[in-house]
Amino acid sequence: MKGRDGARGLPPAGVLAIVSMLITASLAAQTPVFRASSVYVSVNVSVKRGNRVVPNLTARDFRLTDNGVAQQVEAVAIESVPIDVTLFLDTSASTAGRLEEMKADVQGIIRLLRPADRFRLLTIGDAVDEPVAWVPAGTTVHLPFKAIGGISLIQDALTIALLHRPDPDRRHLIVGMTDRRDCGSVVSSAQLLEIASRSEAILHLIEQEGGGDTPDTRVRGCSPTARIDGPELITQAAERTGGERHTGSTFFRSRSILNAFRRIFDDFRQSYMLRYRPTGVDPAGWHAIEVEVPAVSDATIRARKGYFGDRK
Amino acid sequence: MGIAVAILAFAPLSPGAAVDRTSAADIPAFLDSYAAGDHAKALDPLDRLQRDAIIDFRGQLTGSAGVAWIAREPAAQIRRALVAAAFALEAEVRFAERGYWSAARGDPSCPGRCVIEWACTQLRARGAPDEAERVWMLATVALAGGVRNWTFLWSPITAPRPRTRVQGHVLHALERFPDEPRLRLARAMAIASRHAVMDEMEAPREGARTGPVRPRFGPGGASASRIVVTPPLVGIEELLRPSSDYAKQEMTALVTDPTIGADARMRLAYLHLQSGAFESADAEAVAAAGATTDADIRYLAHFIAGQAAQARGEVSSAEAHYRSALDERPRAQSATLALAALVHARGDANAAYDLLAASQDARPPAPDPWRMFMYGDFPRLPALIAELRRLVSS
Repeated sequence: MKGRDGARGLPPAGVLAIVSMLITASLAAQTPVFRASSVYVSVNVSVKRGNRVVPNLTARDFRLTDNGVAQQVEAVAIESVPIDVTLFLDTSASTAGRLEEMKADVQGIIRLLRPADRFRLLTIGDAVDEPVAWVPAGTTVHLPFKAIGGISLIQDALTIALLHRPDPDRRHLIVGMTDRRDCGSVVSSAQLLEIASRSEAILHLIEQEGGGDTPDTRVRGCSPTARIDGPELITQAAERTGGERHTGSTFFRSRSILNAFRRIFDDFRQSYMLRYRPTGVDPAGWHAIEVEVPAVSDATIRARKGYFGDRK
Repeated sequence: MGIAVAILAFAPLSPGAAVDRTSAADIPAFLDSYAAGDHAKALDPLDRLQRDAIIDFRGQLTGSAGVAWIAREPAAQIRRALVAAAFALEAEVRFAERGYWSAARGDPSCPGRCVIEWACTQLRARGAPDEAERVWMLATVALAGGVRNWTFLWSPITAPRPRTRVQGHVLHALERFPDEPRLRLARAMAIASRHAVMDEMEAPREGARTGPVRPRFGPGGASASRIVVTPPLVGIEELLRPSSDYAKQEMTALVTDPTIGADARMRLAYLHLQSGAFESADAEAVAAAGATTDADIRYLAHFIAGQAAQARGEVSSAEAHYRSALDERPRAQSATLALAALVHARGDANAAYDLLAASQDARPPAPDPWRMFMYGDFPRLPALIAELRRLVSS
């Protein structure tokens, strides 16, 4: 990580210090779960009634099971925790008709972020490109990307996004705008699913059916690693992290990427972080997590589906 | 050969005022500029042509304008034909980079390959083949690889069998240079790639997604790290087998060539990988890596060996091959991703993060031969064009 910090353009030290003070009490001694052999498990949980976030919940309001075994939960409201946002734009030929709109939306997304947040952009060229490396919120960025034809390194891009290690006092939100039709990735959809299962990041997908082809793309080719159920596995990868796939019926009353992102981002900021020390379960292997909020009977609850325990 | 060089040579177009069309009257001026070595003056206006204007330009060049310009100075026709052919090639490179290789209308239509064939005819009409023609042939083959137009290079999808009409630009080139190893390799690559794209109709179309249309690798079974070959669709495998075997046979014939043998062996390994013959893929890949000092070929060989090892469920062997690939091209994205996914799957998340961070931080991005593997000789195109320009001006 040392090599990356300089490129990120870290926010002012004072901002970080204040944020750190705010969260230190609640997150003290926390060992991030999916990074190493862990003591605690942390789970982001979104609780909504209709389109509104349910506020002011405490640990006592949640019921969480790990492989069917009830756990003792601590709950932390995490709106103040700074966020690393990775935006992935599937710039394959099928989205070429919306490039200019996409560029404008990227600028709008960066403006949505809070001062301590950071942003990066991944796109597809001959490889997975990073036209915007980590930058502070509010930065005006140059967006030179263009649509390309014949290659869609979606799984590779999402893997690069998921295998980012945020600092311990930050959370990582990934939003991918994609049609999920991979072509040419090195990482298989099955591998992506496993990586998502071990990631701390939250991955949301927004279905992106690009606004029509344009001939203004050189034809690329892909190696034959696609599988028929690849798009579904990509969706499952998002769901494993506690994210979901958003389709037009939810978000595209206005087709703006910015609007879709705003809603995901607001939900993410207002989600809860549940933390528990797994007890009564075998540490190794897959741990299915279920979260309920009994006091809010009509709540829609979204959380990661589980995690892989330490194999040692 | 640097992949980065290949990419940089096709940087985004410089902005300029839009030019809706050219006329036949413009073409002699372009050709004169090109003949004088003023390549920017000859070619930059073409960057501003849109689709219909490009189609018009092609018709004018291959109609009367090009031939008239060549014939204007009878004593210099041999050089002028070379100039016209080189200009036509570079024009098509510019158009292809913007996605207009296949742009055409009417019947008969004349997309990019038609212009190259016209130029090829002018070159061959000059008489005995020479070095400039050889370089031009290699460059056009590289361009066709870049746009993945394998049908242009070599038409028949299943062979050998009698064909009443055997076409293919690479066959024209081999008629002129039968002992040129890279053309022989290009022919084998075209056959192999035709096998991979499977369908006569899979030649690139404007703005279209190309490449394999059927899945070739399947779910990982017990471990996602394992690549398992699955039957694509019922009957397809049998349909493919003759051309797959033929492609392997053609590639095998080249593996002892002192110039391109290691390259051919590496590509043979990929054909074995595609067809599920993983042990053969591994053996050929390892042999290819040991037979050359070319970093790109060694990278690709190790990468393919890594894929074959993954397919056999030999994860530690796959990791070793990906690390060997990265020894050749440090921080290349493809092997980094493949390795990071394996390392992450066995629980060493920090090592996976570090691998990817180092690759992502590389500025400019590290050359990645795998990302260019599907384009035949396309990575050689900038160097070939530079050499062609030198020969045209000499």
